[in-house]
Amino acid sequence: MDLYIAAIVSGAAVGGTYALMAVGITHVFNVTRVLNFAHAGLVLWGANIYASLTFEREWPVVLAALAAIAVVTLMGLVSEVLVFRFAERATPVKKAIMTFGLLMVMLAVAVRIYGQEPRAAISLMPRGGFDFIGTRVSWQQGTNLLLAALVVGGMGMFLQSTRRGLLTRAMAEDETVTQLLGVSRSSVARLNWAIASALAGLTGVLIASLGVFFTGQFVFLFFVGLTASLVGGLRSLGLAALGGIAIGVIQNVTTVAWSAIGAGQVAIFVAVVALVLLRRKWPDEVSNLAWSKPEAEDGSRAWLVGRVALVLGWGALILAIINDDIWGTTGVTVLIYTLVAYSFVPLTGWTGQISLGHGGLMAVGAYTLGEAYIYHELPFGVAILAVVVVGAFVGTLLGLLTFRLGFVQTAVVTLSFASVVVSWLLFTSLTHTTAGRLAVFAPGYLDTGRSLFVGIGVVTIVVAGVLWSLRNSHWGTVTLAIRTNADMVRHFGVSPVRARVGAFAISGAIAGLGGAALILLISITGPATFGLTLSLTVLLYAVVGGTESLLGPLTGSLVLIALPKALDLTQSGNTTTSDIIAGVAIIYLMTTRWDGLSGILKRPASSKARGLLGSRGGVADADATEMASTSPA
Amino acid sequence: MALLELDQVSFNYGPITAVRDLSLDVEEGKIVALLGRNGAGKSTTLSGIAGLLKPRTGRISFEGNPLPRSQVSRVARMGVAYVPEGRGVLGGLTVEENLNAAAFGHGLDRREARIEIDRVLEHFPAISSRMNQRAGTMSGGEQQMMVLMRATLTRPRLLLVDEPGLGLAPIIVRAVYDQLIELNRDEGLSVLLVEQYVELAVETADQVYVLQKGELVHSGPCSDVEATTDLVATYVG
Ligand SMILES: Nc1ncnc2c1ncn2[C@@H]1O[C@H](COP(=O)(O)OP(=O)(O)O)[C@@H](O)[C@H]1O
Ligand SMILES: [Mg+2]
Repeated sequence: MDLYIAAIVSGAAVGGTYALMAVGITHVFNVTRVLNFAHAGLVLWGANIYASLTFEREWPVVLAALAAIAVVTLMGLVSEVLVFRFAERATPVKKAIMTFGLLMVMLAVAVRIYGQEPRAAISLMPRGGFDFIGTRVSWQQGTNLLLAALVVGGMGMFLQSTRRGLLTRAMAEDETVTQLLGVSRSSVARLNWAIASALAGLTGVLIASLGVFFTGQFVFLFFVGLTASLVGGLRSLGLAALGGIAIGVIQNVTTVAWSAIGAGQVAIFVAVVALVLLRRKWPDEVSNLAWSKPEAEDGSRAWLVGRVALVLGWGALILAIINDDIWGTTGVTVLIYTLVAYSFVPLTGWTGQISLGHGGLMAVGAYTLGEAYIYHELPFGVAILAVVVVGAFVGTLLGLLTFRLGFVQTAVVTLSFASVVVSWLLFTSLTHTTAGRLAVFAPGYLDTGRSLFVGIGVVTIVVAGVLWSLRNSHWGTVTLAIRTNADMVRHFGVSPVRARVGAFAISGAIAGLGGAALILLISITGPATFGLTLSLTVLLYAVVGGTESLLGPLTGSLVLIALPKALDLTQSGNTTTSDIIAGVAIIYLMTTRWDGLSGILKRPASSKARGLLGSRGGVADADATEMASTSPA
Repeated sequence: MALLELDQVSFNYGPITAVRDLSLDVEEGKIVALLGRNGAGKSTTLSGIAGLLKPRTGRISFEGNPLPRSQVSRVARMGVAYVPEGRGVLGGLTVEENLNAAAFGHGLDRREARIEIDRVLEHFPAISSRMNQRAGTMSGGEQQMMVLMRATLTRPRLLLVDEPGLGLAPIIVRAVYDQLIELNRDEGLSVLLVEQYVELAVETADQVYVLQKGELVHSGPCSDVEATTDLVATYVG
């Protein structure tokens, strides 16, 4: 029993930082209807700056905390200009994706400067603590809880009792009407963005003060904060904060009850699913991901130049691999991201859904391969088949969970799925691994960079071919209409639900193959490889390339991975350069109406008739031609 | 020089032109009615003047100066109050907060806001007992009164009001119109009014403009109510 009391008390103490995270996310969402991924990036920078100032420069803690908060607030204001000034008329979903790009840039730059190793800071509060119902609570934990309560109270006062607070609430209720009353939207937005950023800075300082932290942790913290925000329906700051504390408690109590590492995450996943499925009324948000693309201007040959460049790019990569096996690894990495990007084509490009959990599906694929091929010693081909089947099955489950959810809820459920897969792998007896260590050695005919490149290349071509014929089938034609008009689709005898879930199943199978390819490349790994960051990265690269055209996946990873490598910009062992480029690219792309980089490759309607590339005209044909000519095999 | 002048103004939604080459004047202190069937482009015109749409061609000037294009809050602060179709009540806020939002939006402090609220409450005595009620829970007529009160609180030069009688019982509609006439008479407020009920509008207004499919088909004074009503009815029917 004492163990449980201790778990509750210390869980609540940890929950203080979750609460602060949730309050920041909820506040921005309330005012702007934008799910602000960049919040995690700001918290991360707050923690890192504070750690550097206190630990390395030995500044006094209070001064360091204030400086960290000031810098982060400034970063937040710059982000606000980027996202909201630059793209004022973009939909909330597009703005959310822009903040996602910002997060990736902030993450990657932080990894470059501060590294991925655990870091320490000097705590804001002195060491030691006090006893609370027989449980030791450190001064820092107590302070975090107290500050969370003060922040909620202070924000409530601001909103209820100040002039700016009233205008903020008015703006949150109806932007147009409030502007008609003479209120400038940008000044209200800027103020609240500054408040949320300062809060992010404070959150970072408090997290760093709790003990050792590392960069990858913040995406998980963001996800926990987002879950807590759901408790408050993305509206109530007080409930969001309570949700944060409750999650801290649930996490600790389940860990005590099951004494397993991933138990806390499983509990959160269950809570997320329950919250999302039980709550009927959500603040309205635009959940449609589709963006229509204008035709390229008549006479412009940009698309042709782009396609030639694409062919030359793949050609150069293949030549490099033939010349030097070292390039094999790069080539395989490009192909893996291409393959996973294809998994977003039916999901995002065709049915307008999103997934922040594809790292989890990749893990499913990798561990299935390990089980089937290494543990059960099945023939390699059969094992790959198992990967496809299991991937499709798990994808279907995810699809069933999310098909009727909006953008924000889907983001949380899929993130939660990824976090649960990764932590579950650490202790589950489902796979025959120890602490999730996975070792898969490719069969002899695939064990050089070159041969693996050819092997995955063949799989990629098959996948692209399957997608191509799917899109040209009756199902594909009707499904493509879902993003714009679900009712019409129903009319043609295709159930929108089945189409959405079906897209998730296909996507799961392809992502599983991507995960299997990844483990064949790195041979030995642990669950951390498939952490939340991988989920975010694969989504980012896919959207940068474009998810509607089948050329998109071929474009994104080539430009993002092979090009920086060729220009010798990459640091070995991480993807920060690619992430920075991708983050910046996505921010820009969201201000256009293109389907990612492949938007440049789209042939204007006027030149289709002339049949410059395809035999019968039509983009799909051209895609197929393109694919054949760029195939690595 | 008229208070508001539209000179050959067109508004469009994407490729669709909703209002074409409209010229229209609102003289200082007058009530002008903009009439036309459903879909004629009346609401489009008002929201365009308020800065919610960019005119594709033409010029809009207010007090002799061009209105800033698509800067909604600046247009409002220049003295153009707009009561949109559907009223634009901030339903989750209290009546007092609705009024304060307008006052604060125009840069007033709490004390100044209080003075202005007290001033307009004289025109809307019924609202004074509702100050702490959530605006969304009031009846349609009360909401319309509150919105008119909120619009006049900041002493605008021009009031744009879109179908203030929509969805209200006839007796309430009458009260709303009496209120408009009173504001026009006592405070010298100029009004550009959009209305479906021709007779009501002609009775109230000094001048009418009639739109048909986005184009101006008639304009003239309302000196003879009956004759003007009959004339306009041939267009609007
Ligand atoms: N947001 C919009 N997008 C596209 N078309 C619109 C929009 N609002 C109005 N329209 C079109 O513009 C025309 C004029 O509409 P409106 O100004 O609302 O007419 P009225 O107020 O006179 O009934 C109509 O044909 C209507 O369909
Ligand atoms: Mg109208």
